[in-house]
Amino acid sequence: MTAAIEADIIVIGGGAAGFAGALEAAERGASVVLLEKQPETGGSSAMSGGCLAFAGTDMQRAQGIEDTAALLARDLRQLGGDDADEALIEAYAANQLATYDWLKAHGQLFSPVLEASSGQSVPRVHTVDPADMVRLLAARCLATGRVQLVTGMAGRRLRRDSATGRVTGVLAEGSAGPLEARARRGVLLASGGFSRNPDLVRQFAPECEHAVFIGGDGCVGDGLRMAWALGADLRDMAQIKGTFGKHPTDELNNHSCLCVYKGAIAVNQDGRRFVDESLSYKLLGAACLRQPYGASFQILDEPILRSGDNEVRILDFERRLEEGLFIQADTIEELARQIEVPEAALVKTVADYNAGVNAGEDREFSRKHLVHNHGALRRIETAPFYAYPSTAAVYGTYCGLRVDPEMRVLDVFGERIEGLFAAGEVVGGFHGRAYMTGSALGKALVFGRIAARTAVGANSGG
Amino acid sequence: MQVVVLLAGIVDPKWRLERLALRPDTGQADETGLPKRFSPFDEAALETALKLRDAEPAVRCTAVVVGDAASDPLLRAVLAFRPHRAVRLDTSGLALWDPLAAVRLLGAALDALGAQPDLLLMGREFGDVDDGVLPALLAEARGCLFFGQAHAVTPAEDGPLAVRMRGPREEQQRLPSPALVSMTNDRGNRLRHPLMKNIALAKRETLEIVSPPPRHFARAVEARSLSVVPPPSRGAGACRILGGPLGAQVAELADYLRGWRGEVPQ
Repeated sequence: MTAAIEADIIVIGGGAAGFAGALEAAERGASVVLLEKQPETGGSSAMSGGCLAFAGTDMQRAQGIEDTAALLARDLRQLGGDDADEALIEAYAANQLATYDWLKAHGQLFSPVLEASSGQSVPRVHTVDPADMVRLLAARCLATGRVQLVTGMAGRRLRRDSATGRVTGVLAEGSAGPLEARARRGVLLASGGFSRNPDLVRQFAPECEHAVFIGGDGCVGDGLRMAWALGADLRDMAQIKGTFGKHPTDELNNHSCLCVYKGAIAVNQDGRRFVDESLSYKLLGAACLRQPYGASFQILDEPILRSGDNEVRILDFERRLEEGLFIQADTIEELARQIEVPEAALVKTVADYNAGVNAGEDREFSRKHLVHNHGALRRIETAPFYAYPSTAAVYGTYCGLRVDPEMRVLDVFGERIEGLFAAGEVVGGFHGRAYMTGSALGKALVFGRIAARTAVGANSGG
Repeated sequence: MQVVVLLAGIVDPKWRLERLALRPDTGQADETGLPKRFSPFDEAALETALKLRDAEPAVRCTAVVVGDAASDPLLRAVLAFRPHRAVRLDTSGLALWDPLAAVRLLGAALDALGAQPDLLLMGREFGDVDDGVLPALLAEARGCLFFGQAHAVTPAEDGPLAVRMRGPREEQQRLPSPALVSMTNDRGNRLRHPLMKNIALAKRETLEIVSPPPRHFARAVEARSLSVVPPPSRGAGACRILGGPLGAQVAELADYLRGWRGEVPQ
């Protein structure tokens, strides 16, 4: 016999988007059942770098950083190009600051250091311990008394009213058997992407075959396929790209290391640069995978290495140095020998780059800043010199269901699938061509809350 | 100088061991399908050999992976570090927990390789089932000077120098030829990462397999059974989060610690 459970909102997925949505709904008086397939919650959110892109925060003001929702939106547009959904960018920009305040009000602690990273014109990476953040949201959910968490329970099929077509629940399955979860107001898909599903990755991103895949074990596209089966439209499926900076053979660190955003250059096995290193690390990843062996090296000197930020995982260079992940040498020639690139080529590449920094003009790739529109370039000249082997890693699929700005899932004809909402990595259209640091985890929280408000019928304001 | 590094590999501890049994009538562990990796001691030995190779153009480095066909991925992993030569010594039919038989096998393998090593390197424990006796036994059988649990071997004009820590004391030994050094893992001999280029090239390399003569497979020790001991279940410990006002929590914790201190054996 199939067990049954009923709530105002059924949330599928226990990561940042799922818990943000559940908490928002519960705070507005709704009852919520949250289904998580894995035995423990957290998903890819907990494994992430913990970076959140917020603009106009009190932390920024205290550090003299002028940032606004408009500038954030402009950066997102610039990154995403024509493929990014303007309405979703507006939705993110309009709701992100309230979500920052909401997080703080719930007791979330942020690292005191703000950094500029991929796609950011000013420092706006607000860093948290992501696993702790999900645990905090989960604890706040349970404290409301309105959220019931069911782990080890995977969503299998969405249920629709045969007359109206409205989504009314989900058939789930756990070790104890099937479960009919009925939703009075709607189902929120927050089930993550599909980086752990090789078939889907091969189908949508065959060029990422040689990339490293990292993500929550449960990220196999459950929500995507359930909505797809109902005719949901998909966005950005052609934009799946690996993120640059993953050490290709290190199994201990799941995060990328972005020395390039502090002044390093990226060279291939021929000892030559191949890209403007200030671009979004999604574009760097795509360029890297086109190089011989799908790998490259970030080349830097001692001052750049010491300019890292130990509070931000993607900029924590010293820990990786201690772990033996950097290759070190007293001269560029010796470094070239160690990484087996032609000595003369690497020496020339570094010399040409330094000359370009002096002249204020990078003739080869027109790099103007450390990252996006931020930071002045620096020479690579002070020993010891370092190489960080780097390839691209697919941390998230950054594509998925088409939604409107209220996070209602739309079908292939642009019509709402009533009763069905989506948030987090399962949503497509927001990032477009490239990706800003902190916008994926940020979108999980911001869109999760918007989806919940829409589902409970209170979708205005933060 | 001929440097030969012997590598055993272990069953990867990252994965839970669901099953383990003897293959019928062989006395060998059936490790079919279990992922293998190098132990920290294997890695220390390999990195030491690579450092010697990098420091001295005259050093010729041969890596020997000991195991059956399931160890071929380990051999490819070694090839990615570009030793001068890398071979798998086929141990089909032998369990390394039988040290006397293993010593005979390894000796025959070295002869079969045609290698007359000046320096033999291996981990302080050789594989999953050696408790540290094998390196010393092999040194004795080969007539080598033995230096155990070294954390470094450095090149020098009058012969390589092996170094180890004994409590607060550092011990050094000039190594004559032949010598056998067992390595312990240390921050300074952590195995480097191979370059992607060399990983790609290693995938295409033809593997060299050496099979010692069958007479060396005679077993001295028979194992009759083998099984997995299940780990304790998660959450089995007595654990409780203190509740109530902070003062009450502190008082309860203090009471607990007072009682706990009294139970500590003197």
